Amino acid sequence: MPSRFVIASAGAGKTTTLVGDALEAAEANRTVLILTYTRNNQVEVIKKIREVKGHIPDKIRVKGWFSFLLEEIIRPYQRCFFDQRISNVQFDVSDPHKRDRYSIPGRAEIIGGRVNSRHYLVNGKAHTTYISKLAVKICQKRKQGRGRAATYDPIQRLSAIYDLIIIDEVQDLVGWDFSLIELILSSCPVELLCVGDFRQTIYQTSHATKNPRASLQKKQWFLDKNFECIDENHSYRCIQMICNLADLVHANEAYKPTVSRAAPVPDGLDDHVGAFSVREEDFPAYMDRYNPIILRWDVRARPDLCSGHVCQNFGESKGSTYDRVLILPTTSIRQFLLGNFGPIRSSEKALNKLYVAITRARYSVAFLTNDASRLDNLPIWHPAENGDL
Amino acid sequence: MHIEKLVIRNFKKFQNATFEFNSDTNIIVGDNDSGKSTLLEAIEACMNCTIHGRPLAGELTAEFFNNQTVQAFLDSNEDQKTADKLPEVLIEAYLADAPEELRGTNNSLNENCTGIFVKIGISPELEPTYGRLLADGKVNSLPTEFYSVEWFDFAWRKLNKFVNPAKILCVEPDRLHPTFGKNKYINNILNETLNEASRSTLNFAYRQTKTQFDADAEVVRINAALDNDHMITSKSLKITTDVKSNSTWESNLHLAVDDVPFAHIGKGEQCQIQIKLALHNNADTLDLVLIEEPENHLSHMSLNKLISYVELHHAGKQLFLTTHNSYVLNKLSMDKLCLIGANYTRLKDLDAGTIKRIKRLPGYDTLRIVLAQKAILVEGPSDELIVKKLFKDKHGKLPEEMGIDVIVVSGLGFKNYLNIAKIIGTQTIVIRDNDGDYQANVINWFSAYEDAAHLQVSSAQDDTWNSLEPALIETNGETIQTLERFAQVALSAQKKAEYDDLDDLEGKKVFLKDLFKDDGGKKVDSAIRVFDSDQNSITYPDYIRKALELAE
Repeated sequence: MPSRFVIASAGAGKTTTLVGDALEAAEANRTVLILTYTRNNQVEVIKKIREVKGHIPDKIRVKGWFSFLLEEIIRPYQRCFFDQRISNVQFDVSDPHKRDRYSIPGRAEIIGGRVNSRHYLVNGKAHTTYISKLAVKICQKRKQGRGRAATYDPIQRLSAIYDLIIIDEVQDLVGWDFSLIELILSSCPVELLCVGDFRQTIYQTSHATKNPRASLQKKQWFLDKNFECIDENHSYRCIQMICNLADLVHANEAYKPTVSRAAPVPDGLDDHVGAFSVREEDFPAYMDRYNPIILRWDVRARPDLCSGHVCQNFGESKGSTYDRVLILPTTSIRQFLLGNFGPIRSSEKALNKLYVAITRARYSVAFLTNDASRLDNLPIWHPAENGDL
Repeated sequence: MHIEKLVIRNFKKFQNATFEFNSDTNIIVGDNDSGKSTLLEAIEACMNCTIHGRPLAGELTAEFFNNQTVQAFLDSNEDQKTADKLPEVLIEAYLADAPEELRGTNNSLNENCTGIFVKIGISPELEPTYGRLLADGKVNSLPTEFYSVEWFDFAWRKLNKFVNPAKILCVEPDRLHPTFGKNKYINNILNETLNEASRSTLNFAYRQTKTQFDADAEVVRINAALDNDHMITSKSLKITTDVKSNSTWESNLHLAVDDVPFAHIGKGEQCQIQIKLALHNNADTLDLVLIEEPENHLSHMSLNKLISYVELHHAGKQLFLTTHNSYVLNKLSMDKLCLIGANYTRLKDLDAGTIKRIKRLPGYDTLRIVLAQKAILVEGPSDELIVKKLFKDKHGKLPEEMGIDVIVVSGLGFKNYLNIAKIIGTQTIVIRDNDGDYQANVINWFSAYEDAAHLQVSSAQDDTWNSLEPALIETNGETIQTLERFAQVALSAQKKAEYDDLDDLEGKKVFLKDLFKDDGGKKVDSAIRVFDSDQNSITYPDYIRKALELAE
């Protein structure tokens, strides 16, 4: 079976699909490893398996990406570099080689012809910024080395244990992580399923300088490695009008249009569906009438308006579903609404946060703005009207 | 799963040892105090992190450590006693057919292999305290209080009783000693034998029984009368059973054989039942079975039955069995022998013919050739007696007192012993009859062993000296006087009288040769008379003298 690469849009139900694949493989007596990048997602995946199956079957193991690197790649063969057992993963988004933007001396990869433990380790733990580099170097060491110690192969070990490896959240992986996927891909009979949600990458993952870094590069990477690409371009959450608006965010990145598979809007909520702009003067009335959740960039956004309402930062809202959403636009979002896409597309993080914010809503998305939007289908809401288009 | 190789460092007798094992059966033999039990302990410690069924960490004492290593440490200078120099115990099991997760290079041989290791070393948390102790110059015994037990697989994953890749069962008949938690031990074996469903059912039935006790009419009557006037307490006072769900059948029920509690049946029966229970594993989940000296407390016939059972029921499990009994060894297959001595030797390359012959004739004491420092193989009992007599004449002692075992090969034949000795390396001298053709029966016959320097043969070169008796007669028959000396020692009074009636030397020789021909009883009788006679009462044939010189 060829390796597959699934690009999911928001609300495509990727966890359900992924867990379905895993359970099916387990039924066929294949051993499955599900890897997640974030702790939250790991919890989601485990929850979903229990929901469907009642318990986690013997044949399925769910691990975080870093634990996987440490336990399955590095530690079994770490003695080619380090004699002391690496006790754990040091979770840290900062660069351990820098202090106040200055390089700390003595952190070079190789010192005196030997691998420098301080390049990779902090207090005997593997630092997350360099852990995948270490994993790749240990795999490569096997190819460079001579003698008995050179006969090991972490990738072969992996393929002897697992038949299917599912890597979720590939959008959050960078540089050396991809080098490792490439090693698994090139020398391993194991089936690989990578699932990515590129429009929702909002974590500044690591300080790695190695490519691929940007979403476009990452997607291209999978194409270059001959993955079978599957576009899960549907949403079980958002109605079509919201899908259309969300698609506009990454319109320059050649995604297929998202097709809504959402259930019909229930009675009582169908009086106000789609996307709107709300003038500041109408804000109290709008809140009063529809009680949407307010999504904002961070706590500094309009505290005057936010107080007394349920608010959430864009980043925190990832994974959540709400009936109605009101977005407090940033400057670049306001430009976006004016049809000027340049500013928001200059930052992938900002772009993706907007995508996340829009796709939280089942039935309605509103932007608080006094500008006259140039976008189609973004009418100005008036308190007097009933809100339908 | 099975252990291919066990590496032991500083554990008890073994300062630095490597043992390779057979995937199915391993019959561990060795002299007393050679380390058979220690080897079983090492396997248990490594594969289960326990010793005699108890957690290793709780049993940690200085006895675990190799004496020489500890002494060398204690004798070293104070500045050499730093934490990194403290003796460590390391036991590594290199496994085959094991889960791939156990694979890695975290072992002393740097092999990319599936495996498990246990290490007893200084605990990192206690290193600073040890440092202070050392600074005060107070380290004059091994500070085991500062040690901890670490248990990992070769992927360096921490193991514990829940993450325990191997299932192992140890049967030690002598653990049934009344003071040694015998119930727990036998229940352990039972527990391994029963499947989950049976165990739960037993537990449930046991609790049911206890509740029935309370409902019994007589019990109710007694309870009613216990404090009927509430003089003792205003509350209700009752004699009842303890029905906590955590008091399981194991702590309260016991095994009974013909209604006799297990602990009170004969030792032999106990031993058999333990071993059979251990092997009779419904779930087939056991990987390793360790059995210590199954022959203890058993008659030959019982042992015979037990070994047949073991033979039939150990498939799929790696068996380790220590024994002092040749019968156990012969019957279970000679090639499964693992000898612990100065070197560790296995007999896995023993030829099929020898194995089969020994299995068919398991009564021979094959362990003697395995364990002997030196061996002299002889054809029959009279040869044995003459060899021993000569040895005693020369040294004033019997050969076995000087580590030379004189073994009568009789029915099993020389070759089977030689095939074993060839691999084991026991220095062996064969004294055999030439049966009338020295070239064919000695030179040609022995050619298969010529290249083994530790194997030698000695026989009379004169074809007419076809066995021991003609050789003795000719050696002592130079003159009528010398032969008279021999006849006086060797013959009974009656036969001596007949002998005296003859006049000439040749006639006397013919009389003697005819007398011994085809009469084993007479031969042995004479040999016993020679053995019991004074020092140097006869002259010994050269080939026997030569054999002894080779052995000395």
